[in-house]
Amino acid sequence: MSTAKQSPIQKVVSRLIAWRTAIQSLFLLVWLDPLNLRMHTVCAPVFHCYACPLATFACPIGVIAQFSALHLFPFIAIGLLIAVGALFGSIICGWICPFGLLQDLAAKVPTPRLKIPQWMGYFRYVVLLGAVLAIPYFFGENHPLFICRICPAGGIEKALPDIVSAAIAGNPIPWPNAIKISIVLAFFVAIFITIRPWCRIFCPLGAIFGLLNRFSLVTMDLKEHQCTQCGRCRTLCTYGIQPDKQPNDHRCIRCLECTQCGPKALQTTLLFDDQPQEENKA
Amino acid sequence: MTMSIKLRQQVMIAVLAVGLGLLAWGAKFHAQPVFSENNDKGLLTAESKLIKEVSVGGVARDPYGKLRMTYTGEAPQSCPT
Repeated sequence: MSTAKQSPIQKVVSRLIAWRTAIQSLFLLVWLDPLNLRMHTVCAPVFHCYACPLATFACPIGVIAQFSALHLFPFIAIGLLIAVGALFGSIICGWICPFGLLQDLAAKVPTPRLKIPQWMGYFRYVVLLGAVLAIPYFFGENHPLFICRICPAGGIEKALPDIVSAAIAGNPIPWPNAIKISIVLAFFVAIFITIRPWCRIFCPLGAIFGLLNRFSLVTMDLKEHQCTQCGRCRTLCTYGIQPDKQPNDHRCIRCLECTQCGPKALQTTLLFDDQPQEENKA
Repeated sequence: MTMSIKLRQQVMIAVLAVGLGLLAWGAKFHAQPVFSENNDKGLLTAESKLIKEVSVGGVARDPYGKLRMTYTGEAPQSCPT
């Protein structure tokens, strides 16, 4: 079996794939504010609640929703997400997002996994347009479907630490409302029965990055003449995507596992490399 | 839908330029008048400062549509989370 010549970036990626969890974990040192910098005037391009006692930066989705509620255009948050998305696409989701890491760690527990239908990936855009933009704009931040009120990251990273610290200090426990508790419990159940449920069905940040996957500087390339159509890439993909059909699918989180197929027909490249071929037919 | 590499490259450059433009504009020039809790003296507040304020529920629209601080002194911790 002949294998395709690897692009320079793919050579690096091939070495790093085995270390993806370690890299995600290392980025926690950036997001969890070990130096107590509290740089909440700056957004980070990842899903991490700014109400968390351990948050270096502001959550871009929370900022966009809050600005929408105030009828302001969030130039910084949207500009950051568009620029980062144009450069990296959803590599952010697969390699540096702390909320993705939490779900990836749960995915390592050997439990039976439910398959999520592909079409459910579009629900992320409903969340983005509804809970992040429209509902805050028209109904303000008090609406029960305002993104921060239904976000499991807020429940896990803010409400849980508050409960624990209050319990330790012997203070009255600040219980979140029943909806929040239900969402957090449902999230914890879901991450053990399917893979990355939040990212694949609900994440508005992943929706933005996924939308830019086809145009991002770091891109996936299928060398059709090298592809033997063995289907190995589909087996390697735990997200139910067909990388040989759509290497830059908007639901892909770019874990890059599919690049480990035998013929090396799928490769990570830069859009300006000589090597990328025409985008495949959808 | 077939999309050529050249078109993808052009779209990528355009999207990146838009993103960086928005980011630069927001960071450098975008500011809003924010009124203090009790008086009508509006103070131009940079977007980055507003990001910090909204993250703690420190700014709200008043009934007249003005952005107004919700506190004086120590910042609240009243975001919807």
